[in-house]
Amino acid sequence: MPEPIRILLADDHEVVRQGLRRFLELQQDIVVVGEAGGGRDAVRLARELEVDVVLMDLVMPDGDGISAIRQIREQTPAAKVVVLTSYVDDANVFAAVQAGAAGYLLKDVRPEDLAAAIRQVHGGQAALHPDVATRLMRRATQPPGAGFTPRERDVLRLLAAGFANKEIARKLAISEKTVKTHVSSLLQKLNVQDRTQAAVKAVRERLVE
Amino acid sequence: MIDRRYRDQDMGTGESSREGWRKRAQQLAALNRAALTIAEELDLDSVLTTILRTAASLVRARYGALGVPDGRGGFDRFLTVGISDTTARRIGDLPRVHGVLGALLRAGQPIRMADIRQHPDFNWFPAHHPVLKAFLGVPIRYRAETIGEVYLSGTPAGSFSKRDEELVSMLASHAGVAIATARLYRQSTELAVLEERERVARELHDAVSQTLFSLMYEARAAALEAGAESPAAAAALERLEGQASAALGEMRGLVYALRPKSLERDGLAVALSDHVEVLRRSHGIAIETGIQAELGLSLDQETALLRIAQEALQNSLKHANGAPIRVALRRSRAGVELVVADSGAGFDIEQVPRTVMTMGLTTMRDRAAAIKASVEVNSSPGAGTEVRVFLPARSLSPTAHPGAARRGAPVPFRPRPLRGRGRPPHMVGRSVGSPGGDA
Repeated sequence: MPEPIRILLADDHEVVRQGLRRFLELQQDIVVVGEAGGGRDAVRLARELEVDVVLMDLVMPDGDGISAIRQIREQTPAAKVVVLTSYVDDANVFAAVQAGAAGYLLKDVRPEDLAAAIRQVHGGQAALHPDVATRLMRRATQPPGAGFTPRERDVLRLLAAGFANKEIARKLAISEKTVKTHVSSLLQKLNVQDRTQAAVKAVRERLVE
Repeated sequence: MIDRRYRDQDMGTGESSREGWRKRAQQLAALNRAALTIAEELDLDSVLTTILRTAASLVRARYGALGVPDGRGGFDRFLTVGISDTTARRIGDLPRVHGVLGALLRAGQPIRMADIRQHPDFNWFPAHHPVLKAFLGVPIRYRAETIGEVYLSGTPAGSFSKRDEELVSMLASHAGVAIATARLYRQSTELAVLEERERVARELHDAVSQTLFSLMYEARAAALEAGAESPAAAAALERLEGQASAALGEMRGLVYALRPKSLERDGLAVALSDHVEVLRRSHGIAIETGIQAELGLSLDQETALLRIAQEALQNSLKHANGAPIRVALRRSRAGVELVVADSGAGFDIEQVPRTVMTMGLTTMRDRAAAIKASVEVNSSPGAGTEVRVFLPARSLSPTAHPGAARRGAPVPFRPRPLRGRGRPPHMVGRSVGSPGGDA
């Protein structure tokens, strides 16, 4: 018989870890080797316990899930991460997939489906909740910039023209704080790290005239 | 310290020293009285009115205006004194935040000039606008932000003095705090409802959902263990698992229904229904609604209609003395109509001074004009007040804003009967369980 899949449970709710462990232990080919109540512990245990698959909650008080995924992928590349969370919104989904998650499931997944997803991910495939898959598809097929509000377009145009936040605020007669909000929303929608990249992308992909 | 300045600058102007001191004491007393009155006033519109009137009378200005910028290049509030209703109507649109008004807003410093037309940012006076010369503009600041501006013009002395500037600046610093307090007060009761709702959602999510999720796994594990030895027990445990799963689905819907609404994501019908619900609870007043979804409006149109509805509701809450309010939003072949009506005391439109009530009306008209809609206000003593906004079909945009198509009707969350086994409903694309995506 092949080696069982070694699982690490990372969730700040003890009751959740308990239920998951009870069920997964009954699977012949799965063994739960550890539990973590926060992201920091998860990173350490994934490294120490030769874990194959980490079930990772995203919102935890001690070290958030997204940065934990990134660190696990860096430090223990053999370990696959499956997000198991209550939140499904574009920001979390894209951040998790970018950080290197191999699966994204919601906390209502039926037990048998979860076990199947773990095997799938261990075998090198992805496992996505249909809603998550839809979001990723939409993101991939959507023309760039389709989701901008008119105000975000204004800000992007000025940003691409090289204006600082203060000048943009002055030109649009809005507060600098509001400009900052628009800029951070633009960075997220454009999927870039900073305003220079945003400006470059905006010009290259003809998002601004 | 202040005394020295006054003496240096103003006491040598021919007035006897005693007379000057007496006058200054009177002014400071008036300022003090005004500051106290303003500080006690919790109604935002009354606060603004008092500030403007006090400022104008302190420096004996013929004309005065007070603007509260809306952060989008216009004014959320714009009050005037010394300009008649007729003149105001002839001037037309509310001013925008450019020219000297914009300069004042950006600089955050008082502007005092013998002739405003000499200011580098001065553009022109609109038609029918009185020609102003002497000008005193003072920003109203709260913390680091400029939240309003007071402008005064027309003084018997020909130009405003440094002392005038100081008096109005002192008043403005009280005004900043008062405006902030009044805003907070207005929001606080409504905020309490929203905060309570958020707390409930968080607790439902943290405690109940997590436990149900775990229960589903425990039940499944127990069913596996009971297995062949006790088929009846296994079947019961499987049913339990199914029920936990269904309850989890209900909980998702509930938490989703409780989350804060956004106009961009949820659309006008949902945002307006939610606002009405918050008012209902925070003010304990009956508000009847007939709100239609899928109106095919652009985001700008939806935003304008929501703001007008909020303004009208705010007026009704203030003047209707607890009488029921009715909100209707519907589309017909002719266009989209928004009605906010109360059965309160009403008022005689001809008799209302250009103060609080008209100020709200001006703002509503301005917002409506921006989306090519008309506003009609019907009121008479004893017959309640009705605000009717009409957006004719030809003003409707050919394409609704992107979020609109994906949104369903503004169905409030209604619990459905628990289902047995089977896939939870959102797995097959339920709209309640999955937010409609980012706008």
